[in-house]
Amino acid sequence: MSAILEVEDLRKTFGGIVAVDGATFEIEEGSITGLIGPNGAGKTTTFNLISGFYKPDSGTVRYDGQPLQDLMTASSDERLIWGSASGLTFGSIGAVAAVGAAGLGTATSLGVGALGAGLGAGVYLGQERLKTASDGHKFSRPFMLAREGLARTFQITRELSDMTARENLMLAPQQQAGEKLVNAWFRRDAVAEEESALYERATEMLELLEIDHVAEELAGNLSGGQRKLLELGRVLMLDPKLVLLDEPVAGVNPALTEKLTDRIRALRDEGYTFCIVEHDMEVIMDLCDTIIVMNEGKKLVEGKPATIRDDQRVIDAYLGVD
Amino acid sequence: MAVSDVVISFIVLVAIYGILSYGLTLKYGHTGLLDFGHVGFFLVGAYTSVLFVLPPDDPGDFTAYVFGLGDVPVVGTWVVGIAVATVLSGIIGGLVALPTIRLREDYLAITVLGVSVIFQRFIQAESWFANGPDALRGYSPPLKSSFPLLLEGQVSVPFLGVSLPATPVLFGVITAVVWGVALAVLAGERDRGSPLPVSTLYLAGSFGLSTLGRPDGPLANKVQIAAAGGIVAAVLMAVLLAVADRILLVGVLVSAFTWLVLIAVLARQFGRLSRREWLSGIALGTGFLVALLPIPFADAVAVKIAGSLLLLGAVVGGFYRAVQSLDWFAEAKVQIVGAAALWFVAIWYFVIPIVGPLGSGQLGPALKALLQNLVWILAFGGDVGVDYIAAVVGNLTVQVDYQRFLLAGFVLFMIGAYYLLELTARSPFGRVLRAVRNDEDVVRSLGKDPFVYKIQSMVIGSALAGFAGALWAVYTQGLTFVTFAPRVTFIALLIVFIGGPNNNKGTILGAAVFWAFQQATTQIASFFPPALRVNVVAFRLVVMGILFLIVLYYLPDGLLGKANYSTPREGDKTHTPQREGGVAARADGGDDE
Repeated sequence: MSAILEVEDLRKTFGGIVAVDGATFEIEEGSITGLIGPNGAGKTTTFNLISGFYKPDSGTVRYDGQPLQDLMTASSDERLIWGSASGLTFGSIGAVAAVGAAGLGTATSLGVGALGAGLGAGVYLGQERLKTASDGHKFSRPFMLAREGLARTFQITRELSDMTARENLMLAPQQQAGEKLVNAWFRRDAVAEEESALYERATEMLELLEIDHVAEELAGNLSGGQRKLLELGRVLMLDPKLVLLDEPVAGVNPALTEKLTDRIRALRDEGYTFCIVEHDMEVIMDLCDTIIVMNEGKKLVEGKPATIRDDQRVIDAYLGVD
Repeated sequence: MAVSDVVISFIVLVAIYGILSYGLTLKYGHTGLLDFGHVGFFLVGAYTSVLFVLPPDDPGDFTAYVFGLGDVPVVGTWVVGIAVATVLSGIIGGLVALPTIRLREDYLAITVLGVSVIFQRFIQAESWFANGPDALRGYSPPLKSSFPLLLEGQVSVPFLGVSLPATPVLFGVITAVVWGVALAVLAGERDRGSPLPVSTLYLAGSFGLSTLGRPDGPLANKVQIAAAGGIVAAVLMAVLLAVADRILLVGVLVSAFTWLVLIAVLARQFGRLSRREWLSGIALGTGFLVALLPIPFADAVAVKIAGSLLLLGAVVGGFYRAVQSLDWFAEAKVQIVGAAALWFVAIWYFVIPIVGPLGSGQLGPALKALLQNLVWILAFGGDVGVDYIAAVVGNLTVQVDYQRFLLAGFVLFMIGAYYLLELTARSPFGRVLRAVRNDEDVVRSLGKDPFVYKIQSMVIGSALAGFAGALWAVYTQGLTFVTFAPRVTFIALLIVFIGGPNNNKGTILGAAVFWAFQQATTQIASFFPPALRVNVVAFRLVVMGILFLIVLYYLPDGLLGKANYSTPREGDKTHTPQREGGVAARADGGDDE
């Protein structure tokens, strides 16, 4: 088995508080890894760093062998927008200056404008390259990681409350043709076909999670447990390789919790990798292949559930013994 | 001005402001971007289109502007001017958005508000650019020279290299739009079920085309049938005009068809009202009419205001009392208010214009006024036109004026904008926009960049504003910087809120409510002494502010509420393919109609 995620000497401070202080660990592909620790141990911050929502102060995270920072450089859409905007601005300033201030002819001015446009685009692309090359500059573009299959859920559920449960699920899949405005306007048949396939997939997912009876309900009207399920379903619709679950069973009733853990185990057997932050020890011990215990921003111990259960350092950390 | 002219200019304004507000519906309603600088793009569109059609600046005269492309072939036409205005507004919208879009709601609102004021001050201060603080005039709206339409045939319009007689072609264009819209409305009525023989009317109005449709071929849906029917009607009317020169006849035909459609709509809307509900509605409508009587008839200003307000208070109080104490009244109150409004509008449209002439015993002018309001697509009177002699009425001069042409064009554009917004809102793209409005972090966690979507929303929304600006330039035939004050943004925002920010139909309703209020108060103001008119007009801003508060407080989702844009559409079976075997029977049992 190889490591899908390697965290090395990760650090993050907020003002005077050191939230993550040199955490180092690995997550094996095809496993369920639990991340536990007392409150303030830095679990959620670690999650936010791994999923790209925070910029680390130092340290590296490798996903599938590639540093996250390399994955999070500007997307082609972003480069196109900023590059053309910069080119357009410089170009029109050049052209207007050529006509208004220098009094040049139309053809010459257009030439100056084109020169300016090239310069503007070049300036943008150049500074973007400099940022990528420099170690000091950190990117935060979580969507680039989600595209690569590194997905997460949130500790407090963040359902899209104005949208139905089904829409929440249909939003997730990547590379939808209809998300491009050109296709939405001019290639409607292709988009409709894709939509009906998505509709079916969403229905299957809703049935899998047994919330198909609320498919057309606004997500804001769902119960807490249903929202947890919906969020899990939404992340699975992404076809991720590694799923970071932040407290997936908090507020879910025991019967449903059992179903949820069964589901996660079944998905693990299908090849998904999970990393779970959870406070319910029973669930963690039952579910995880490996458990990483964090304390004060560092990894304290790592091991099988059975060994963690009896580890004196873990008990001390939870009880607050110095 | 005849009452039908008031209604036509009302619809033209609704169309312009509807398109302008559609920009905000997309930005704020669908994406959640609170753009207080929307008017800035309206300004860019208006001035750009005008600079394209103006002739080159003459240094000798009093106006000054940076360039005029009116003399350049092809480039200096309205089509190119409006297209460039739209695109340029979109680009500038995108550029303005780039540095500001990362700000949170209120900060974004304030910065773009600043940008729009900069645009306005630039026009005001840089007098070399677009005549500074003075009006920019001297351009002629598209095809204006062909109006009013005459039958002598000396005017022609170039079309694909051929010169066509102007009158049949332009009247055909107007007919196509009016007829097509009426047909589409009628198709909706037929689907909803109506007490009147609507199917027959639909069959006749669409010239039998409605029976030819095949699910997969042409004429598959009511929009295509409406378009085809409109074109057939246009050709027929154009031929009638070109061959037989009967402008009055074709005007009556087209107007009559629209009245029939309107009657069908009203019959369904109000057909189920009982007699006492009708009577209450009529009483309420008459009450409002009586309450307004002191304004035209009392001499003293104090009596005008106090009398009217007192009577209005009594009517509203009576209505409130009835809602509280009578159960059947409370249940049907929306319908009763609708009936009251219908009664009121009918009196205003048909009765009041003929009361004056009849009072002085002149039957002819009274009938003429009535005819004008019935045959609304033609303009009667004026120096030019076709002369008819009719019994009782006397001499009639009939023409088609430019306003009617604008009406057809602008309504078509508004329908286009509505269609564009529906298309956008119902697509996966629109789904991402709604997700961005809900929670950007979720969108980020799902592999989509909110930034890219917000920029696209700003570009399209600003382009719509720019397009509306170009139409505004056509409509007003002159631009001043004062028109583009931040107030316009807030009016557009009010329009969006009245109908419902998440509802594309609501925007049209909002624009209609706003302009109905504007025109009603303008008419009321005309009964006050000139010195007081300014105050009355200023006071309506206060009323508008109160209206805004009431809508925001009591109807945060607007009059029409939130629309459901989730895909697939309800009842649209093409999106929900039936699954094989027993599952289909179970799963889709509820979908049968």
